Amino acid sequence: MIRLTDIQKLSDFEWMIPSTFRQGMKANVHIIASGSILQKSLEDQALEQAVNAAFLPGLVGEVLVMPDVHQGYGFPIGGVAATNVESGVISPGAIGYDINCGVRLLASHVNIRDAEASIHELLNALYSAIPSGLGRGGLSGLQRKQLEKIMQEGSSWAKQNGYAESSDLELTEDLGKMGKADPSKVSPRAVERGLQQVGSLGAGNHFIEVSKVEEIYDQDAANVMGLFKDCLCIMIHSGSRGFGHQICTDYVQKFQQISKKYAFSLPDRELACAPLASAEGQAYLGAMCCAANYAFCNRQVMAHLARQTFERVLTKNCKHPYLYMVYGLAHNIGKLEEHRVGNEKIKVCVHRKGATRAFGPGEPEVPMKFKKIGQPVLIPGSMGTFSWVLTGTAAAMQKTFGSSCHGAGRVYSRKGARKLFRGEQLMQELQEKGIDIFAGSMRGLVEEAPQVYKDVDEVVESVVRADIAKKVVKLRPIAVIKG
Amino acid sequence: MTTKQGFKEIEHTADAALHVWGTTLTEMFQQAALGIYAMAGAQADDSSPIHRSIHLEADDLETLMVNFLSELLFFLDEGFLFQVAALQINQNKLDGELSGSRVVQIQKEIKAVTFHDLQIIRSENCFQTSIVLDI
Repeated sequence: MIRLTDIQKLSDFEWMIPSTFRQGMKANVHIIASGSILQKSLEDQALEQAVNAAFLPGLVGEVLVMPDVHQGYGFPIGGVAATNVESGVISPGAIGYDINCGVRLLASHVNIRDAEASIHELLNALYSAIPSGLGRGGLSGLQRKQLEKIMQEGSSWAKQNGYAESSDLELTEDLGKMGKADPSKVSPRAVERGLQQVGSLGAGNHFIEVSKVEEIYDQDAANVMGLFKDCLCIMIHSGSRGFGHQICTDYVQKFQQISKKYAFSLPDRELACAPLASAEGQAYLGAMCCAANYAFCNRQVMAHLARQTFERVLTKNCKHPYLYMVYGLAHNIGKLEEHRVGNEKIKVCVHRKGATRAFGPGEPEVPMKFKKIGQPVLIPGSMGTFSWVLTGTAAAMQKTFGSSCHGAGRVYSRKGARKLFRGEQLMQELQEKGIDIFAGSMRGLVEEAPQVYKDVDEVVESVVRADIAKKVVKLRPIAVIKG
Repeated sequence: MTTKQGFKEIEHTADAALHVWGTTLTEMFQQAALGIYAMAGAQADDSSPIHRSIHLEADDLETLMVNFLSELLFFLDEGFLFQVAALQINQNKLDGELSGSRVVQIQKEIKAVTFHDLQIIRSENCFQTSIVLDI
């Protein structure tokens, strides 16, 4: 059990559990959080899981914990760990089952004033156009060869097939395509699941949100991103569906034996891993990249459907109702990156589970358009609360392997949420706040009630005060489709 | 545990967890299957059942449990809810006969069965474990 007295204060928004805290830890745990968020984080197993993550072989630098941290399984959600590509491991559980779960933000020049009367119709049309909820949906009749292309090409496949514009790809992390994809490392079962679900939202905490820019904090950065006061935006949060879940399931199971073979001493079986340089590690990397590309393509197809729907519905009342890409990113992923640690530049695999890449200005991976301001960082709120757009900083490159938080982070269990809230009442409360809701299931809606999440504004304040991100704009939700 | 076999949802911040128990290993595995269906809110139609056999083998019972429940989740994703008609577990090997119908409703997507904190505990006349599911 970890107590507050075990944690050293580095500043008002940075804390550390030293590697001497428990025998076998290979790195410090560095926590980005306000004092009150830190205190709350001690109430579940989140920090215990961060300490467990510090046992991963071949860690470089520190294990990072973001302020939206909460208990997951094995590795905390809101955690970042970098391993040496030559001497370190890759751990599927430290990336998560929903490989490349992520967010993309689209914006328009449409002012909310001109569109207000059409919002319900827009929500209705988006709900019809984009399959959500459980199971199948999306592009029908997809063949295995096409799926193989999606695994290799990601968003490029979408572009080649009329579901994307060039700027969509340019403004997506890794251009919407990870290069190490190897379809031969994907199981037939994952393929079977993947064939049915390209272009579908899924369930759980996945959503499509219509919002407006509420407040601008950095006018220059907002201008660069094409975000204007009161303009309508659409945010899509989804991942690699059953395809990614199956790939992670397959490899967590395989790596149980691999961890034994390499005699890794791990405090949790869900952290099972393989040396990244080994055949097993490379196999998972190849399969994980396939799932990442699948998710990039999935969100791209949904963005395309959202764009068509937006134009069709709003063309009556608004001039040029066109949705352009702001940015798209991953927040459950393993990335091969080069980072400066001390005086050395080291090639690492950065495991980000519930954490967002937040590269600062001038970094080569940041799209040309954002070179001066840094990479956009998208922080979805929780139905009833604000979402945020931030930018990465130079300090994030030094402190957190260029990473930031990914959302608000849960504080209440799903079971607890069902005891506390009722679906109809929650819907009414949200509608009174001016938020229109479509939900696949009332039970799912209740489990995702805004009150079960931390205060997203405090989470954002923590990353900003720790200097790993800068505020650009705040978005107010207007209408939400919950999967 | 007021009954000899059963399942119960337990608190977990982000995901979901089940406590399952039975007087035999087989009972506990069957309860785990019922538990994930209940958690998913899965309901099937009354079409004539289809039958499927499963044969699994693992290094230990915990892995066997993850494999077993992962099979059922895969079938669920395919659109079939399979009840366990017969089950035998012997030396980390599982042989089962399943009887399934088409899923008509699911309320919650369970992404995966995890190894986190998974430990099958055997005491006198009772097998029990907790299972954390990724939601």
